[in-house]
Formats: sequence, C-alpha cells, structure tokens
Amino acid sequence: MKLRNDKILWTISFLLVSVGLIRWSGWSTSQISLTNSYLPPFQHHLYWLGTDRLGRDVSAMLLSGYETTILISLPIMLLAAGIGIVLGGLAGYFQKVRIYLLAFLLKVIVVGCLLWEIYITIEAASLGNASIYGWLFICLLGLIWAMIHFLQRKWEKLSFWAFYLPVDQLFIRLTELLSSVPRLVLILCLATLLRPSYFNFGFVVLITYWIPAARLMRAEVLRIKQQYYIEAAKANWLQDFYILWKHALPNALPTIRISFVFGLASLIILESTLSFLGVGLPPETVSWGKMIAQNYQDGQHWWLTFFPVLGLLLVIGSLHYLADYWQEGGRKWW
Amino acid sequence: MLSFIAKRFFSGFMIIVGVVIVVFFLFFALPGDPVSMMVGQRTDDITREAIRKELGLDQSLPAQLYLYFRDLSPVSIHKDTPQEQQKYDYTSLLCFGESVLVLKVPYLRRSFQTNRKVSEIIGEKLILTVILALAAMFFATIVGISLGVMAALRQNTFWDHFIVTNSVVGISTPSFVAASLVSLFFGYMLGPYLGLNGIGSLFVTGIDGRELHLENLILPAFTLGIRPLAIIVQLTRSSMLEVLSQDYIRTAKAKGLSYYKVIFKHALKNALNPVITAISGWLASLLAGAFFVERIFDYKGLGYETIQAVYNLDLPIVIGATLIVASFFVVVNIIVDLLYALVDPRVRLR
Repeated sequence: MKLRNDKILWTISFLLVSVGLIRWSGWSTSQISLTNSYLPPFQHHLYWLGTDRLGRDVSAMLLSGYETTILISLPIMLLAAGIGIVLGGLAGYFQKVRIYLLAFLLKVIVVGCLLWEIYITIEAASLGNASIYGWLFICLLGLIWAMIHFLQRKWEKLSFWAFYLPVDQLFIRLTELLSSVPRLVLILCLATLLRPSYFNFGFVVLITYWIPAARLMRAEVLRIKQQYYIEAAKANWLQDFYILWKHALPNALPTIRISFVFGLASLIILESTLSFLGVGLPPETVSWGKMIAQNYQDGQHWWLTFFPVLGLLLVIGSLHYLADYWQEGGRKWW
Repeated sequence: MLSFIAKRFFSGFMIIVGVVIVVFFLFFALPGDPVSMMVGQRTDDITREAIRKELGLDQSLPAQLYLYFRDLSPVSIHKDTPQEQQKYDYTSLLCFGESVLVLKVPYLRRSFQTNRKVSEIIGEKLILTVILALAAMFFATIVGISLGVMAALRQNTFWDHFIVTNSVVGISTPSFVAASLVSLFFGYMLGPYLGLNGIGSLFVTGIDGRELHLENLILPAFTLGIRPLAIIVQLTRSSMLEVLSQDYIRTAKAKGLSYYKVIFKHALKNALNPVITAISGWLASLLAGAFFVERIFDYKGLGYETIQAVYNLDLPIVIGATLIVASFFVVVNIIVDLLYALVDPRVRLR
C-alpha cells in the first residue's frame, strides 16, 4: 500500500477536531423530547443523524461517546507506554545490577519512611492542619538518603553481602507471567469486582497494557547498546541515565510509537466492548459501545446502530492506517 | 531434547503457579466482600460469620493462599474424614494417622449461586467453547490462506486491493460489533431464507432431551474467525510475495515445471512458516475472544457462563474460568514450543 502524507494529516485532524466538538456545538445528550422519537437521519434541521426512542439526539451522543473514548483511552495508554518505556529501558540497559545488601536495605527503609511521611503530610495539608515539622522531617529523610547514597562507596569494603540482581531476567519472567493470563478475561473479571469508576478502569487496564511497549523498548535498547555512539558516550564518562535519556530513548521512539498506536486502537476496542457489556465504566457515561448494545437488535431503526459502528471502524481504521504508515518507513511524526 | 522438554515443562508449571498467585491476590486482596456477594445484603451476623469461616476468610492472607493452593493441587494432604472426602471427592493414596495423601480433581470451590462444583460446570461448558474456537480457526485458516495466495498471485490488481482493504476492515472491527451485525443480518433478516438462527446453542434442550443443532455453530464460528482470517490473509500475502521473488522459484520456472506445481509445491510450502506460527498463537486467544461472541449468539459455552457469572457476582466461577483459560494458554504455548523444537533444531540449542 502506498501512503501519502496528506491522508495521514486528514486522519489526525479527524481524530483531534472531534474531541472538543460536543462542547462547541452546544448539543445535549440528555435532552429528551418524546414528540421527536425515532426521527430518521438527514431529515430534521436540528437532529442531523436522527433521534432514538426517547428523542435524544444521535449526533450529540455520537460526539460525546467519541470524547469519552478518547479521553479515557489516550491518558491510560500514555501512562502505560511511559511505564513500559521506563521498565523496558531499565531492564534492557542494566542486565544485572550489583547490589550491596546493607546499603540497599537502608535505602529501601528510608524511601519507605519518606513516602509514608509525604502521604501523611499532604493529607494533613489537605485537611488544613499542615505543620512545618512534617516538611522538615521530609527534608531530613532526603538528606539521610543522600548520605547513604554517597557514603556507599566507602561501605563497599565493609559490606561483603554484595550480589547481582538479574533485572533483565526478572523483567522477562514478570512479562511472561502477566501475559499468560488472558488480558480480556482478566480485565472483564476485575472490572466487575471493583466499583465502576474511571480510576478503577485505568488501574485494571494498566496491569497488562504496559507489557507490549516494555518488551519492544527492551529489544530496542538491546539493539542500540551495540551501536558505536553508545560506546563513545560511555567512553566520555557520561552517566548511564543520561545515556538512556539522551541517546537510547530518541532512537527507540520511532518503534515505540507504532506499538503505542496499536495499543491505543486495542484499548478503544476494549473500552467499547466493556461498555457494550455494561461493565467497568460508570453507568451515566455516554459511549459508543452502550449505544450499540441498546439498539443492535432493532433492525428497523438502523441509524441507531449504524453511526456508532461507523465511528468505531473509522477511528480504529485510521489508527491502524497511521501505524501502517510508520511501519512502511514513514518518518514524519504526524 | 529430553532436557529441553523438562525445562519447558518446568517453566510452564512455574508460570501456572505464578498465575494462581497473581489471580489470588487480584481477587482476594483487593477490597470487596465475597460474603455479601454470596448471601446478599440482608442477613444476620451469625450467618455471615459461618460463611466467612467456611470460605476461610477469617484467616490471614498467607494462610488463605496456602488453603487455595491445597484446594487446587491435584496431589495434596487432607484430613481423613467423611466430610473432607465428600467435599473434595478424592482417592486416597497413602495414610498416615489422621491425615491422608490424596489424588483429586482440582477443587475450584462451589458456585455462590447454584452451589454446584465449579470444576463440573466448567468441564461441561469448556468443550463447547473449544469446538467453537477450533471451527473458527479451521474456517479462518482455509479461507485465509487461499485468499492470501490469491492476493499475492494477482498483486496490484483489483482483487488484491479488494482483499487487502477488506482485511484491514476485518482487523479493525471489534468482535462484538461483528457479532451483533452478523447476528442481525444473517440471523434475523436472512434467517428465514438461510435456515440459520440469530441466537442459539449447539445443544438445545427440547421436549425429548438434548438435541444437537450443528447449524448454530456456523454464525458464531464465522464471526469469531473474521479477525484471525484477516491477519492470516495479510501474513500469507506478504510472505508469499517474499518467497515468489526468490531465486529458486525462478529456477523452478526455468526448469519448465507447471505453474501450479511451482506455486503450491515450492512457494506455498515455504511461505506457510510464519502463518503457522500465527495460527498457533491465535488458537489460545480465540478461547478468550469467544466470550463476547458467545454472549451475543447465546451460545452456552464457557464464555457465556463466565459473563453470566460476572453479572451475578459469582466469584468462584469467574476465578475458575480465568485460571482455566490461563492454563490453556500455557499448555498451548508449551505444545507449540515443542513442535518448533521438533521441526527446527536451532531452537533446542539456544
């Protein structure tokens, strides 16, 4: 397939413009007018795509459902890709990490105290009784951590409990474990157990969605590590994290973005599937999956099913199209 | 080879153990109240306490994990009492005093709703889902490979573009959309002419017992097969094009072999390798994908049962189904790996 750039531009603008459209248009999804129920599309000057049984506007519900889909999927997928990039990059770059048990344990304890103290202090601050001592204590813990970190080199002689933590092996085992629980089944089951809310939905989805990006990132970092510019950077005594951030990440991103787009498409499918089953998201959310679920057995009023289906196919199709463009060697970012 | 098999089986076993732990923590450690799921909100405290004791919820989390593993393991140690015998339905192997080493079917506890054993329910339904998945895979493989070969042979013609475009549509259609459209169109609108039902299971309990309705397999299998079909078409097409451009195909043509002999004997045999990888990978995920298709077509397999349990908050069935599908994944992966090792010696040496 030969792809042209202007098509990609159309795809992206289609995806972006429609997000804000519902706010701008002033249509309402909750307005009921029983005199106008089951209006066919393209016949009324107000209801462009017809109305449903209660006389609600299909075009408004379509736009609103689109907004739900994107506003849920995009942040979750960004977060998942972020987690994947960090974990995959670390696993690929540091195959094994030498750990001094004593210093490591001390650090873990200090960091644990630090996080707990931050949590308590912020909670107190949000309740209105903040105290300066909490913040001072946080600073003190930070100082202790830094002290341990910098004195570690001297402790090395004292501590003979050094061992290698096989970060890469642990990473491989973890991804293997999580991907052998079927993703859809796990998410479906968990989504029913937890109370339906955006936060729980995101949590459940994140458990498995970081894996593809992480695997790809690890493979990319393993490839990039062999390159001469990494060797040159190491020869120049650059820090490991600096090399990862400045040299490895920009070279890995063109591959990661493909998996990102595929992940986004699959997340959109997942979201609509779960709302089709009426699981996971709060019941008042307007969503394409729910529109289809309510009307798919109604062959007479075809527009109620047709437009959400068309919308889903267009969005997912255009995402696949974008991924195809990048896979076939397209270099531009749009 | 033997050490490879042993290693593979051991790692598969460890993964299943890990899956059990993950599922346990996700379902038991998260906030949620199985007791009120089981008996509803209106009940007295004594009943609640009794149920908590029966489910082992009054114990600490590690103790619960131990009990859970003891229930699941086929070989385990139990007390030698008639109650335990009735609960687990075990065959004893060795007796030492009070306790006994037993062999049993993994005990997945009992359904909250019907109080039947979960392993019985799942065993009944799993076979229907496996039949559905195999039928879908069969359809997708046969049609997909032939369409892919056709597209590759007629590269850059109308048919090629037609097939490829449709396969992109097939990949991007969510399975519930495809299912509802197929059910509506072929089942209801064309149903009277085709003799197909919009919904229905493989076995229908009629007046004179269970009847087999094979025609109810057609639409679900078709729907479930659409996605793998589209992927197989694209894979076959690209690998076929790659093989066709290689030198030995030209040699075969120059030797004067007939067109079909070159295509099917020389090209297709080599082009099928990546396709077979994809097919084996898809077989396990079809089992999970069948959930929504079964739900819409009212096909009473494992997926239908699970979603029903999800609506009824029937926790043991949900956990049981998750574990079963996960172990199916692992087993299929082991079989595929072993087949690879058999075919390709390089895999063994790694």
